Amino acid sequence: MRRGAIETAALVRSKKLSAVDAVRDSLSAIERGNGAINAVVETLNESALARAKEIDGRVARGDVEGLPLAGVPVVLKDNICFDRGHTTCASEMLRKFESPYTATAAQRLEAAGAIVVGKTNLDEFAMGGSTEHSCFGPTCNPWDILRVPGGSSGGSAAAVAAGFVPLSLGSDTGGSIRQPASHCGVVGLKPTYGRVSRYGLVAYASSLDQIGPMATSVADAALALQVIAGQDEHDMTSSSHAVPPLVVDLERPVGGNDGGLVIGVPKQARDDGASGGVRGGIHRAVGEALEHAIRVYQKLGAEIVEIDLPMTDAGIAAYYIIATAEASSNLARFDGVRYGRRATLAPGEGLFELYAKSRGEGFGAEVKRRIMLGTHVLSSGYYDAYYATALKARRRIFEDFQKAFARGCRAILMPNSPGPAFKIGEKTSDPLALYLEDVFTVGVNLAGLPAISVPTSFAVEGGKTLPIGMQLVGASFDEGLLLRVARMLERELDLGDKLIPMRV
Amino acid sequence: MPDPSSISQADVRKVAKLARLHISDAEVAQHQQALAAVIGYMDTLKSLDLSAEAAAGTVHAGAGGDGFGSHLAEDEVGPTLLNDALMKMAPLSMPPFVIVPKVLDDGGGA
Repeated sequence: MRRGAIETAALVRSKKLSAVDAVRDSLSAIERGNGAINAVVETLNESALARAKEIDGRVARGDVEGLPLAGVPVVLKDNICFDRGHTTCASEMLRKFESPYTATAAQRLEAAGAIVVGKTNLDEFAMGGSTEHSCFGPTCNPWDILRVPGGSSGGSAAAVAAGFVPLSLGSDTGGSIRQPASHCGVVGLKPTYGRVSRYGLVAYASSLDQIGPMATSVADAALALQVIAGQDEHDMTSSSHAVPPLVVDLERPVGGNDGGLVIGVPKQARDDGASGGVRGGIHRAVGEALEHAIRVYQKLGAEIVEIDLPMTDAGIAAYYIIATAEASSNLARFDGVRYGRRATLAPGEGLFELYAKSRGEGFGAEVKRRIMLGTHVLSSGYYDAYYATALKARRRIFEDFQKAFARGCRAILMPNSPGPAFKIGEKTSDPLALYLEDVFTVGVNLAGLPAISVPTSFAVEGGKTLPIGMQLVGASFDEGLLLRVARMLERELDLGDKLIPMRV
Repeated sequence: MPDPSSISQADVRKVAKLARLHISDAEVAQHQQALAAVIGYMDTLKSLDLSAEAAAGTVHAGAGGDGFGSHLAEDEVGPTLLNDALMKMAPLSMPPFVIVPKVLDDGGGA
């Protein structure tokens, strides 16, 4: 049995476990296990232990109000700024970068008693779905080290799955929390756009990026969201919408008088041949996992309705236009002058060469590819055909989801990814194949909706058991309802220790 | 308009220059193939009739102004990162200045 975040905090607050011991346990788990999976890129032993002593001091004085995460060790995806250690974005560009400030979400976790013990691996600047595009090398899936953990928050997912920490933060621009959560057998929550401050999250695509928690249970994810959510004066896109209590209501099933339990399932996700499915197809095990989840909800009294998300395939095109356009602009700040890597110039070379050489040396292939894609779709003669059209497609995608909620759907159920975790290196030579993996996740970001991945099933591939999670999508700013629907599934499945991977 | 899916090596070099990215000849060839494939997929949008749609630059615009959208900060002086913290991040500096190559008499400059 592993200790979750809520359980750890309860033990610390009641003095049955010291925060120092909780942190030491976590650091030694990382020391033992990280060599095999490369999930954590930096540990913060000294500052974490110092912070743990402060928490223990507060507990000793009985000063535990406002510490729902007392002594809980956490790790942060390394695109989340923290004023201790480095913030590298897994890029040569920022390998030595030390942030002078801390992201609001991380600061709120700390204020609630959580202790940041390390930073985790990711696809460089969060661009990817496999955590292979990293200057630190790939992260391996704790269920099968020959496979990817998903991405781009692969380090944060693998660290929780491997039991290094009960809780981590990731970021999700096009599925980067949900898809690795699915591949690693953990819970991953992407909040509504605007629910969590992006202050201190190194920007990839600002109209899509959201920070969210990854945990071993829906309840722990709910608590973490409760702590990090809410308006922030440093992020003008963070919402003033009140954050309702997310944890106290969690066990109350959805149904009956409060609107019924109607679950929408997109016909594009049921790869039965009749509906056509998605262009890249769906792996048999994922199709079975979806049917299994549908049966569980039916058993719980849900009405399953078929919905139509006709833009599912086109959503990938719209996403890769909008996200790369924003990336090409956001990453213009890495110029070799203000921070990050600065190239050495030859005699006679000027400012243009300083920019181009610093960026050429500092960025990896996938980041360069996305910057060039974004530059292309915004360039003269192409803007209307690509960027302007993608914004219209984005509106259509939003409306398609709204139609489903207007029909009474309380949540939409579909896979996170068309297949289970794939082998390291399998898709690196074919970027489009990797982009097509995002078919079920990017539309949710384009529509700004909250969504959660809950582990539901297992596939056996090459003699190894691999977890598969299902995605539930909720209405804007209704994470409370979404979490309750997710908790019903989790409670009924009761996978418990089955979600602990074999020792790696 | 040229057929985007037939993106040439010259197109790749042009985009790389616009993006201020130095890429090697080997990278040009590699990116040409990948960019052509991805841009070819992006062209699927052209087959959709989206003429009735307004552009949604953000989800809040899509939400029809429900009051939860982004807002502007007051134009007031407030605390910010200290100058020396920012200066410390610059790879080459002579406080209170960062050092850049000279830009005058440099046709390829900014």
